[in-house]
Amino acid sequence: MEWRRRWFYIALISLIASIIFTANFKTDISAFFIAGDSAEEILLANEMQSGALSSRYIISISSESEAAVSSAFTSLFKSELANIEGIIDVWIPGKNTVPVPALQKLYASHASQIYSLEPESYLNKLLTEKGLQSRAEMLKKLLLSPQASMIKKIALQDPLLLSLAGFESVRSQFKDVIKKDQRFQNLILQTEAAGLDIKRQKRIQKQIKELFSDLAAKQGCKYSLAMTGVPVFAVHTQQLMQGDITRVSIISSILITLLFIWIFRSYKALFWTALLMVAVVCSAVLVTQLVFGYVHGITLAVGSTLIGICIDYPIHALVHSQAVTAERRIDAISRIWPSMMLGGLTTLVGYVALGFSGYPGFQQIAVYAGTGILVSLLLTRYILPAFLGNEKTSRPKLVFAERWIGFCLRYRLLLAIFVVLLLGLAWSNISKLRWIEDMQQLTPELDQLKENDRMIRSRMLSSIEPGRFVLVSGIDIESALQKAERAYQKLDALKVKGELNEFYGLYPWLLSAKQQKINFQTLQSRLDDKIRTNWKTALAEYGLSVKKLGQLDYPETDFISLAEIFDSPVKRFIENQVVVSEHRVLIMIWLAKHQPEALQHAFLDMPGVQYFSQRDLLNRMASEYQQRAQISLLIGLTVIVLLLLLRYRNLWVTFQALSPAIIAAFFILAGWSLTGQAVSFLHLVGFLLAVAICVDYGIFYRENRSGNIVLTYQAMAASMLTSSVAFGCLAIANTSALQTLAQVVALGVIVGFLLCPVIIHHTNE
Amino acid sequence: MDVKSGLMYKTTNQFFVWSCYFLVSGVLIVMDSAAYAQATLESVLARMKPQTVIKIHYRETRFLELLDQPWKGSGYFYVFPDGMIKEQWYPQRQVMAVKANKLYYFDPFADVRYQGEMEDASGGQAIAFKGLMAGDVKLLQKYFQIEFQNQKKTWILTLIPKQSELAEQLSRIIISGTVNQPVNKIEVFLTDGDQHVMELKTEDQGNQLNTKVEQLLAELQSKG
Repeated sequence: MEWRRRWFYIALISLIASIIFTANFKTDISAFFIAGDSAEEILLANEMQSGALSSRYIISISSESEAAVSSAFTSLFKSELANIEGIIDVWIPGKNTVPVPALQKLYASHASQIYSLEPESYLNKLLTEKGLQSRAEMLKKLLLSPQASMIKKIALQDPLLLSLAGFESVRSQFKDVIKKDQRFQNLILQTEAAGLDIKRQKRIQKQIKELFSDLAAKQGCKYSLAMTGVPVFAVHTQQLMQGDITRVSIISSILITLLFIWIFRSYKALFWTALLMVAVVCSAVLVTQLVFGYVHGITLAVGSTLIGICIDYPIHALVHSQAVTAERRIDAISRIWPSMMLGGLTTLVGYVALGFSGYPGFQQIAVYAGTGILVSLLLTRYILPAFLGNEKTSRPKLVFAERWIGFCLRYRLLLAIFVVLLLGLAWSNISKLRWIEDMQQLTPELDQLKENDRMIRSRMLSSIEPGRFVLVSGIDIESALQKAERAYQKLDALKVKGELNEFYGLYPWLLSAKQQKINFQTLQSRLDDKIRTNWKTALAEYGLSVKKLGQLDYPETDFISLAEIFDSPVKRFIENQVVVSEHRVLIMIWLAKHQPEALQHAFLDMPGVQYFSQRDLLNRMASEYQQRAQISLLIGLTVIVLLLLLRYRNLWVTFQALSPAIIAAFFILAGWSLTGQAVSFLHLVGFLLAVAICVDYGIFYRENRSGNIVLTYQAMAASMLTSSVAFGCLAIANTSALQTLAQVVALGVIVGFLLCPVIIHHTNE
Repeated sequence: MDVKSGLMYKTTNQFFVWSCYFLVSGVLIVMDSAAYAQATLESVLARMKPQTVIKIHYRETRFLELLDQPWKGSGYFYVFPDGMIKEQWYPQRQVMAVKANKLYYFDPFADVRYQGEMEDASGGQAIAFKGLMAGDVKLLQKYFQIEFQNQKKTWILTLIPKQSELAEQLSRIIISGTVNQPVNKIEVFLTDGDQHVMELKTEDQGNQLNTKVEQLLAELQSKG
């Protein structure tokens, strides 16, 4: 036995060293971020995590009185914000901050390619005698306007001012801002780091707040600051999670230690078990690291409950071994090993099924917990005996367990009838079970941030409806643009019908090469001698230089491309509408007020174009997760039943071993029905875990390998206490997903434990 | 699509440059030229800020490359302590103002209006003009090279932009006047060869003009 102990120490030190040198701990929420099923949804989810939109803040300054926010303060704040490291751009939303030289350089030379989506009808109006006169009149007016210098540069390349034809939609956004409430001023801020780069975003948010406080104090302004955006949600969630991990880990470790000392009253036993648990956690971390390349904070938080489960096996071993003399201890452990093995396997099934529930982060938890359970089982069987010394024989003093089993053995029939009655009551209520349909309800801890977000966005006074858009998908930018241009026609038709107020596509910023070619060819075919003469006449009539402006030369140039735009300051205006990946390009067409049904219907016959609602997507995902959780639950239960059948080869015995867990879970379901609590896939996941853990009790109680049912029940009581404490500690977390698990599993194991002596008739009684 | 309205969207920079010489003109119009004979530039600039509203008639001629004939316009400047208004009457009415940090423009004929921040378009350049308004020579010198010539009967002040964005469009501004008389001529030279000449004559000054200024500002600030 001595060599086992030595090898264990060496292995433990190596494990710890490997973790120190290799483990990569992450706390960003990306690993737990909701991912979609279709290629478009996955791409959008990635964009939400690391795209341009994710690294953007909306900052809102609000006056604490009725006075307007000073424009001088806003300007100063804006220019100081731009000096913060990591902030690459700051602007006032909707302001006409289009960089004019860039616009002129980009578009004037491409005038003949970008002037319209319907070149025939546009030119039909423009190239009449009257149309040309009116254009000459406008040109003169503009040359005398404040914009003269820019107009002059454009007119020398594009006398008909075709390059300026498409900006009506952009102007309507500008109009909105003029009418805004002066008590608020919003700013948009773009950071270099991705929204989920918590470390950098945290620093930026701190600096923004400090800068604002300093400026407001110096200027004597009574203003308040609010922020929203993916980085704000990410930092908040990370802080929430960090707090949960620390709190849950510390409290559950302390409670389990105290519980252990209370049960065994032996510091040596505590030390051995603690060593085993360190080895279990280290192995779980290492295997998770090897499989996923990192270990997530949530895994550690949920994984901390693993201690409460994995410690069950040494507890069973200790209870049974300490009840006998020193020389019989190894035999005692060997005797209960088959029960432990089966119980461990059923718990493992629960965690593996959890990995298939669809919630991305749970896969890691499954690997982490699965490893922990297997390692704990093996250590209990092969290493723990090496630590067992010659301490005096003792038995845990869990009086409540002794009294409860005594009570159950005496009144078993009455209690069984009571359980059956309760089951009947539960059955009659189960149909009232209510499911959560809105995924937003799964994260009530973010309600305040969501409200803050809604408030700030309402101050934008933008007509764009958040979270709803037309999603165009193509294999490359050209195919996506061509589809988008067909979608614009449908959207124009919806506008005429009054089913859509406005839409904001990539036009006039970018057209497909196909449309650019059509525009160019149409213009060239229409510019005949008659039109050229009419233009010269119109110029002369308005005193404009025929020599400088009379030649309607629109030479063919390269088509304007997305790369060209992304290489210019104009990028800012469209980058949040285009997502480019290696094999797919998405274009988002923003929508103003609209009728969702009309839009859904409009694109049914257009492959690659769909009406998209983020909220609907999340709710659809919730529904899918729920279905998957139900399937996981069924598969998990089936595998557990098969394992038990394989072991017992008797349906009735299998039923007996399984029924405390199933009935406990059923009571929990009925409890939710009675209280009207809405249930989500997370409840089902907890339900599955509760069953997987409770089955162990059924197995231990049914098999009673020590031959002493009171001793077995004492061991079960000790393990039930550690499991319920470990899961119960999740209730102190602020993350509602962890609270749900705490509620379901802790309650499930307690009820399952209490039901064992009522349901399972023991022959040794 | 309406080209005019589209254009309105992307004009701030041009608007700014235009307003720059408008502002410079306005500030310098009210300078007491006699001061140049004895004082330093610093002391002259320190006296720039008008204490009351001043109404100045102007006649403007623009020599534009793309027009066959020079364009002529006329109207009034209203210069007051924290800003100024230019009300053009000929050939068509147009109103433009700079007040505190804001720019306003209204073309009643085309029903086009604009209001915005000076900083939106200009960044640091606007500070230079604020410097002019406040008589801050250091700020002015940061953005303009200043040349001051004092001849026997006349004086000439030349401002040459240093800052690249401004210098891309504005070549220089020359303000001239005669000794013991207010500014009577402003010439603006643009880098593209165009030129604006403005002749000025003070018509009235005093608080009785406040109502007129308020009316014009209300017209500019209305939502249309």
